[in-house]
Amino acid sequence: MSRNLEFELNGKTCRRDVEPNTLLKDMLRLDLGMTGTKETCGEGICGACTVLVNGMPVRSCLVLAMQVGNHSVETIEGIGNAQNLHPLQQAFLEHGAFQCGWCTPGMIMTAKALLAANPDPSEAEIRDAIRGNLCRCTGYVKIVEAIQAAAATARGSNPLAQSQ
Amino acid sequence: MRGKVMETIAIGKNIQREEGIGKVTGSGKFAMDLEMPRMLWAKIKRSTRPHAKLVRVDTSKAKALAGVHAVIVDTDCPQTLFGFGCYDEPLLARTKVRYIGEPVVAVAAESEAIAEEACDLIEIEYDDLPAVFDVHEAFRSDPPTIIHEEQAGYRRVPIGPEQYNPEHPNAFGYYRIRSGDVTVGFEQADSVVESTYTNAMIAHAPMERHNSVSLWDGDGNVTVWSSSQAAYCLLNQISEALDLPHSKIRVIIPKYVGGGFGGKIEMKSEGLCAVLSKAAGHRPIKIEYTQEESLCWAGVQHPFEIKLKTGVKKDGAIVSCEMFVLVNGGAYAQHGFLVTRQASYGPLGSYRFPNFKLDNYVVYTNQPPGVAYRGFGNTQIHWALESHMDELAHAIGIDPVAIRLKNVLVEGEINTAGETQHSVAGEELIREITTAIGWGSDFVRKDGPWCRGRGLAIANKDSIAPSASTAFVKIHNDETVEIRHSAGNMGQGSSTTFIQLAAEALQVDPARVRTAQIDTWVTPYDQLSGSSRLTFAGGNAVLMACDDVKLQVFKLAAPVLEADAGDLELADMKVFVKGEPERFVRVKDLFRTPYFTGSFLPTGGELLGKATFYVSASKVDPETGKCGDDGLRRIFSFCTRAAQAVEVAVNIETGQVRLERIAIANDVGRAINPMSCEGQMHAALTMGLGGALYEELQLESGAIRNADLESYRFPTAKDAPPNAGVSTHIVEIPQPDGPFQAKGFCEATIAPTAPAIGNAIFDAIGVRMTHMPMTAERILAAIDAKNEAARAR
Repeated sequence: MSRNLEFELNGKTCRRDVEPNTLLKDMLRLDLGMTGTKETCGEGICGACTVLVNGMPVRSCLVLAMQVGNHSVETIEGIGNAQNLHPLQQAFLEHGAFQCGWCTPGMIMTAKALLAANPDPSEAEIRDAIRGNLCRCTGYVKIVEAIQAAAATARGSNPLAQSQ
Repeated sequence: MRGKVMETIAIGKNIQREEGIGKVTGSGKFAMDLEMPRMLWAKIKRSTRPHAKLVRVDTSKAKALAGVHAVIVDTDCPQTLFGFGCYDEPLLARTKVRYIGEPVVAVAAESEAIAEEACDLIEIEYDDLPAVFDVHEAFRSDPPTIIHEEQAGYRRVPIGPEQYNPEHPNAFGYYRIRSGDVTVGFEQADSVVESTYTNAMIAHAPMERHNSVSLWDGDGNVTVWSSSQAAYCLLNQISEALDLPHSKIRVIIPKYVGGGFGGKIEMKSEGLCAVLSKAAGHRPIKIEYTQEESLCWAGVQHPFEIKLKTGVKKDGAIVSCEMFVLVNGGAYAQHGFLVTRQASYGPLGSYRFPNFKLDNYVVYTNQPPGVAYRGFGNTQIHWALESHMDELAHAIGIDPVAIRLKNVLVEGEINTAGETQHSVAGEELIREITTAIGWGSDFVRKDGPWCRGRGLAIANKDSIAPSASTAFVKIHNDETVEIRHSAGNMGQGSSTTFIQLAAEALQVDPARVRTAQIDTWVTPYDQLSGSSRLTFAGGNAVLMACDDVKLQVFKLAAPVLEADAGDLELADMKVFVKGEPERFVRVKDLFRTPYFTGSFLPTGGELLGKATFYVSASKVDPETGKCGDDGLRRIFSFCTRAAQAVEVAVNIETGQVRLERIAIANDVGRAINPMSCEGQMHAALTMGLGGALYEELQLESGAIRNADLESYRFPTAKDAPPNAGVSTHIVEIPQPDGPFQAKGFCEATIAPTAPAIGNAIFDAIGVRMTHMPMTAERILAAIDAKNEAARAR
């Protein structure tokens, strides 16, 4: 028995009929065709399916779609595109911070939440933030570099953040 | 050629990945992201027994479930056997099962949930047979059970010595190398050391689980969209399994593949789902392996047992080495025979052995089948050899660096297998890493319970020969260049490498070059994305196809420019007369555009260069594994070498090991894209470190007990060392016949990590670890054993 769901998705109101047991990642990937959000483990370990709910990183494989009713959801598709990359996307590209790229959307969403809370994180703070985003290919070196570079760019473009 | 500097427009530049925008924006479509109209979902009912006869398979309840469209068993499939050199595997278990996890029944339904429910309704009655898991028991002449009774009759690809030996009825592959006389060699030695090294079964764990969509259409063609890393291997296996000609099979691999590491070479369920497609009325069938299936039953790394006996002189020179290797192959051959052969040559790519003897058997057991794993057995063989080299150094009291420098191969040397070695970066790599880590300098050795030590290791990987790769290069009427190649780009960046090579060859901005999606009805033959071969073999094919398309351009431009085709040059998509750059015609102006009917070339159809690069190999004597003086002296396409030095801290109270610093060096011939090279070298931090310290599929009577990413743990960002502790060193020793002197290197990146860590642990606490992973429990047990032995004295 499907139910009405209304929530904010990447800044726009979204209305869907969903089953009560539909997972958020399945609504995004299968129902809405937003396949930028990936899934690997399906049990909240790997972080590939990370999206932001009210700005907080959550594992969309562990959240029911119904739970985001009246909340705001942000996915990789909402933060930038080829013509207008988010500073994190730009930094990942320039620093070669991916190999296969499967973990990249979840990694970028986690990093976005980190930089919103902490515009100038240390390397240890970055590693702590992304410890739940598994990457099999890169060794994390260039991911850390890219997040540091994006943070510097963001601080440079925001005098308030820079003065803090 | 060494040290030659050339002005380049693309080679050696950190050009961003072709697929980069798709990866950072999430817009790139991986196979798992594909959906088709009327698509059904497949699930596989797998064996719960390690070795048993199938008495009864009742699918009636599953077939009756609403939403189920097809349920198939072995008798619904072509009665073929497929394989990879040894043809031993049916699509679904035929009369008996040989491992826990073997596919028995396949179901197609309207949703994944219905397919899963249908699987639960299938009843299977087994008659258990004795099972064997231990490689020694399986290898016996009178084993507790014979896993493949029909083995003697299996079709095989001939390779080296006789592969089937009735004396060892469960062994399915064998390789041997003989050079000199090891007995005489041992008599000359000042010291002889014997040791045994082993490794656990580990998982590739690609982040994109294995998945595919298969369609067997009404015209009799099979189309497969797959997360595979090797389109033409997959095509060939589907052909064998379905008994269809290649022309009826079309394999499409999206430009985005989420990791492979050797675990996505063989067919998984693409052929099986094609049979389901036909049974369900020609509907597309999607299958996504679960995390358990992807970790355990899509191929694993082979556990090896490696016995070594080596004699050395006081000055460190190796005089004799004897090795006996048993490989636990699991229930089906898959890549086992090739892993066995490749690993056998591993030692010979590192050092010279005046006397050498190796026997290497791969043996069936009732465990999940093993496959290639980033290096075809080289990680295992170098784990043993490099740990053993430190034992030898300690036995004669010389430095671990000194013993390696004494024995390492040099440029142009003919190795123990009779092969001439080119692009040899042995000494150079050792110098890079020892300088970077400060080898020989003082450091804080003790800090509370933490003891520090340093270790190093080298390794190498030979790339397969004979080898072939074909490329097409098309110039469109807007002067865009399109490369058609079937190289699986599972993250290593091969498509960007090809773009850089083509841009250089055609003297065009790399932004104007792209690659086509792999589609075997369009993109030509490539042997496989494996064996580190794409930059070398694929890259050469791309360069040759560029030469071919240039000739076509010159032929069309010659009459326009009133010049000989041989006097023309191409740059920036302008064809000009040599020495007269003002006498030119643009490539786009060679096309004609009459009326509204598009554009065409007056002759030649299209600007499409085609070329095949082929590497031949010397004849190898099956008795000795050696090649003779045939003017070629080539067993492999090339050899790539790697070295690492590490500093670790070992907690003697908990057994925990922390990797604090690591210097990583690889020889790449020439770095086409240094940023991409570094990215691959960093793999040592996750794949190498995980395999060294934690990763292990825990087996209990053939069942895997940790089949998820919570309990099968691989390194997180907090397990890897901080960036300041990591240094990467690209060493460029030109590969004479490589594209712009380049060669591949991705497999060698992880092989030195485990022995370097093992050697550093010995340096820290005086304990020699002989089994990987070197878990905290095993380190504590080794410390206890050492203390016990000291007390006993």
